[in-house]
Amino acid sequence: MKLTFNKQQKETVRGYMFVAPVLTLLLLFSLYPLLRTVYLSFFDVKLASINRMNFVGWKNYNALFTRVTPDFFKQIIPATLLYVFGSVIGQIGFGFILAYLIHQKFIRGKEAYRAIIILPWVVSGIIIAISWRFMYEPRLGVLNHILITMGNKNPPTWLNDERLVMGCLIVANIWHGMAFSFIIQTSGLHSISDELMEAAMVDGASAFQRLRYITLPLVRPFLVLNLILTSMATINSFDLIYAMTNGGPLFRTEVISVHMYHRAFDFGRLGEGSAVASIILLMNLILTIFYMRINKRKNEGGDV
Amino acid sequence: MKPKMLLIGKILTYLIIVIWILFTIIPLYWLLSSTFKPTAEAIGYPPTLFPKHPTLENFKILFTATRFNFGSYGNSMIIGLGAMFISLSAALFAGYGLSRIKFRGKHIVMTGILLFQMVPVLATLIPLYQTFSKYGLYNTHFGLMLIYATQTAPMNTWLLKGYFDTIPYAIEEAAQIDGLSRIQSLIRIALPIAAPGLSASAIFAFFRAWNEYMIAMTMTSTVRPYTVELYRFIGEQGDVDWSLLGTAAFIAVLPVFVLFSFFQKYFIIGMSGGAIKS
Repeated sequence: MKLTFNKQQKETVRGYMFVAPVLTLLLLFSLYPLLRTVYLSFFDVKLASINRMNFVGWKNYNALFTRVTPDFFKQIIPATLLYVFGSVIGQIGFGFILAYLIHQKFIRGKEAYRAIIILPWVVSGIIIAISWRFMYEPRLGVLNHILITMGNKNPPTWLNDERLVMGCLIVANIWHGMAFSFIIQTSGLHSISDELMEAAMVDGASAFQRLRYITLPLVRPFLVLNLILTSMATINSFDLIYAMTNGGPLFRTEVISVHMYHRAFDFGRLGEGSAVASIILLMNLILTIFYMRINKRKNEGGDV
Repeated sequence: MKPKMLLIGKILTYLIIVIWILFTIIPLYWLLSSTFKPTAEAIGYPPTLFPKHPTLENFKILFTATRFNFGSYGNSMIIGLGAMFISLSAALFAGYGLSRIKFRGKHIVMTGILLFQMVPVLATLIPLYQTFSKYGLYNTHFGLMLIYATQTAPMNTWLLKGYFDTIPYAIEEAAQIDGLSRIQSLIRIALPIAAPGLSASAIFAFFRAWNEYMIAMTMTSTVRPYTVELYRFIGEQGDVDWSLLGTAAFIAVLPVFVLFSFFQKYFIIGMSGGAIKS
């Protein structure tokens, strides 16, 4: 029997042939490993004997939640939350403020400022990490050289100081990632029509009133989008912390992504690592649902 | 508002911008300028803003007297170009198909591709390592190319679909009546028109690969990209030689800065992950 297609069916086959290469890549190197991470989290797999797998049920999760050094609920989760909150608030806050200031009419050389502000973002995280390690270096670094010049006899040891280390990392991460928020907020500000602002000025609204009653409500959708995307990016960020502190000192900066890597590749327990990865996946899923809901509203013509 | 207040406001605005610009420049400048300083000066007290005794000695030392592997830049280049090629070819067909062909399930495919853009790489790393070890892709250029291409393909598909949407289909229809197949019409007619869109995708695909560290570290032992080599280089020296490290970093960021200064707009489109379209 010969298979015959009508015109519409032919187009469907053709359509799938065009998307097949992308779908193949995504299925093999994204969806399959994603599902397999969850699967592996219920097995005992060692890095040394990678193909030997024993089903252990929830044991990997148990081990993760009951370990004391580092304690999952007392150290890893608080460190992760602190890092994410600090980075997100800093990046969006400074991103918006700078976007807003540079957006002002009287500013000359807008493009040049924007280019410089975006610069750290196009550099590899590993080079950013090295730059900031050099800044924070207690004996040789610039920061302490300046402090000593200013008369400080006992400058802090920054990354080696367990009270300061998280702050140091957050500053470095704000510095690195702020450009993304800056770009989103800049485009948000561009979406506000000039006539609206001019009308408000004619009506005698002060700069503060214009910001409070026109700009902020109108860029709110951009702020929300920014919040979700930056939170996800920060939960999943790894390079900067790994290369600057590797989770130390005293697990103060052992965020969940670094912890996953330690369990899987430094301690060689791929099963346990997969359990941590599954929790990271869950966090991402929750944020993705928010993202999709917002995106849907935007596509349906609502206000983003 | 009083003119005086206005002036103060303007000055304050400029002041904040300038402070942030300085804050942005200093850390990178400090590392990269140490490239041209002798080690003693780079870490000496007081710190010097400009090299007092500018020198190219560090390049020579790095090249001859250390175990820093210069081949790592080559590895990064090969992997970046390969990833770019795979990502672009796949995205080109998909973007074209999604723009030009009406087919059943198209909407689901498009949403699916968008969703894949949000997959956290962290959560795929362990199985990828396992699979790659099993099938001989571990420690190969090709393995990393595939992973990086997969990361950028969804975003590039959407970008290119967007570009094809803006090109009138009528030209192609005329050509197809003259006997060109869909693929011929894609390559001969749509592709040249979509070239600007392609450059944003190309830059995006290349630099995601060029800058990546975590996967590269996990998936390689000897075929190391420069990011992994840099990290290894810190660990290898007992006491970090910052001016040599700065030199190695300088070589890696130079091409990025040069390309960025020419194609800033494309960087922004690509790296903002499609959140920004114009």
